[in-house]
Amino acid sequence: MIEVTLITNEGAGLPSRIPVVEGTTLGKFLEVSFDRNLDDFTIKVRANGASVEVHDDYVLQDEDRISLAPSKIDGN
Amino acid sequence: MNDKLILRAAAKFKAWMDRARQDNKTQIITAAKYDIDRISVRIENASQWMKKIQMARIPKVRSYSDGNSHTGLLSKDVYRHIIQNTIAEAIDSILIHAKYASTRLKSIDRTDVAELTLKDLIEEIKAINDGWCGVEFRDNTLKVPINNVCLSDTNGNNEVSLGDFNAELDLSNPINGIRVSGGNNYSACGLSHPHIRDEHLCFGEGEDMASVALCQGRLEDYFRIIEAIVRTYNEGGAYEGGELVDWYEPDRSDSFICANCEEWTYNDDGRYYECCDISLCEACDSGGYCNSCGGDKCEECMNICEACDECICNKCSMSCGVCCNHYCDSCTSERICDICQNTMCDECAKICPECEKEVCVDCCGNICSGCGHDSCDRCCESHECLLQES
Repeated sequence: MIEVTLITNEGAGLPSRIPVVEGTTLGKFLEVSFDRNLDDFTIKVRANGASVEVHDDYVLQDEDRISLAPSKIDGN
Repeated sequence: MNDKLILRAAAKFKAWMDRARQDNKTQIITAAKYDIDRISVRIENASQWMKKIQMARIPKVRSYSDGNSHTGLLSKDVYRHIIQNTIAEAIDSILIHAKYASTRLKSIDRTDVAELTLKDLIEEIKAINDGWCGVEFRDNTLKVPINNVCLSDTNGNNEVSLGDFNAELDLSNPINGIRVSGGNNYSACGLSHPHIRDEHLCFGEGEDMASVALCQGRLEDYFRIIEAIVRTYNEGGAYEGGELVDWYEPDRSDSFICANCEEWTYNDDGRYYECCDISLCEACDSGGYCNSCGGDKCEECMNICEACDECICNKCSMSCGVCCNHYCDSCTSERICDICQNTMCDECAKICPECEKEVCVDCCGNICSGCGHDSCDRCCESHECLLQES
């Protein structure tokens, strides 16, 4: 098992540490861990401190940080 | 941005985070106090102006030694300016500062600042530098461009292009907010974005997530949230509601641009002058009604008869070429000076005692120093005394 950090920028916005089976892809991980329409979010992944190209087939690494920010936010 | 600047930016933000962990709450209270102080000042200003307006409604009568008196009242334009600008702006400012103060005070318990290493923050700044084009760090401020902002109405039918914006965060004091400027498509009331006023972005639903991201040192997320707000139109929360297209490209079929102040005005609130083919709003309208021909005339085309004080237009009045006064037809008859061919009024016309021609006073003011004889310019040339002298 590996561990990744998921930040959803919702609610308190606190990062969650989530254990993941080695070899899990980003697409599969988000399908299970984030029950929302991903088209409405900007997804960023950082591995070893550097941004990586985001695609569904990206295989998650230990200590990856996945951040999701809504692509539309209502101002006031 | 090169590595040196990235390091500087990260160090500056880390310094704030370290300090903020100690006195975060003090800072929030200080900032809120500043807003509340501004509210007090603006309330005092508005109150003073209201008193002045009330006082100005009482006519001031000044008596002169000759028995005449003058009654002074505040002019309509000054009155309107104070009500619509000075006092209205003070009230707007009160509302904005009240909103700031309220937001700050509500955030006091949810902005515990995280402890991050310099390496973590370099990572954040690098991610911003890689994620946006043209990021700059200058004067402690991190500037992130948000280009080609296009907003859509809620139903997605209409789209309005607002241009490029810049989000600028002072890393030495980020809790006091972020400035968002730019845009090249201004609304009827002069705003470049429905959720930005005076470079202040109204976060709305993004308020909590932005402040949490900032306090956790997740600067990349913070700027993503800012960008998402800038790229979203919330009809219900905009400074001016309504359809976006109406806001930026309103239907002007029932309006005109005042030829004087160049402001949009409803047709019913202004007047068209055929004489000069111009329309003026109520505030700029200083034309009148010609008592001779009955036409509406603009200020440029309107005169006052020097003799009877009646309003008359250029076409119905005679302008004296000597004294430049205007007269209506019934107060003078148009005459032409026999020498200079200028038009002249009754007052400026004179009969030369020598040749008995009608000339203007400018052409007939020659009094001979020898004999005291009065003559026009033409007769003066052949006057005997002068001939003798020469």
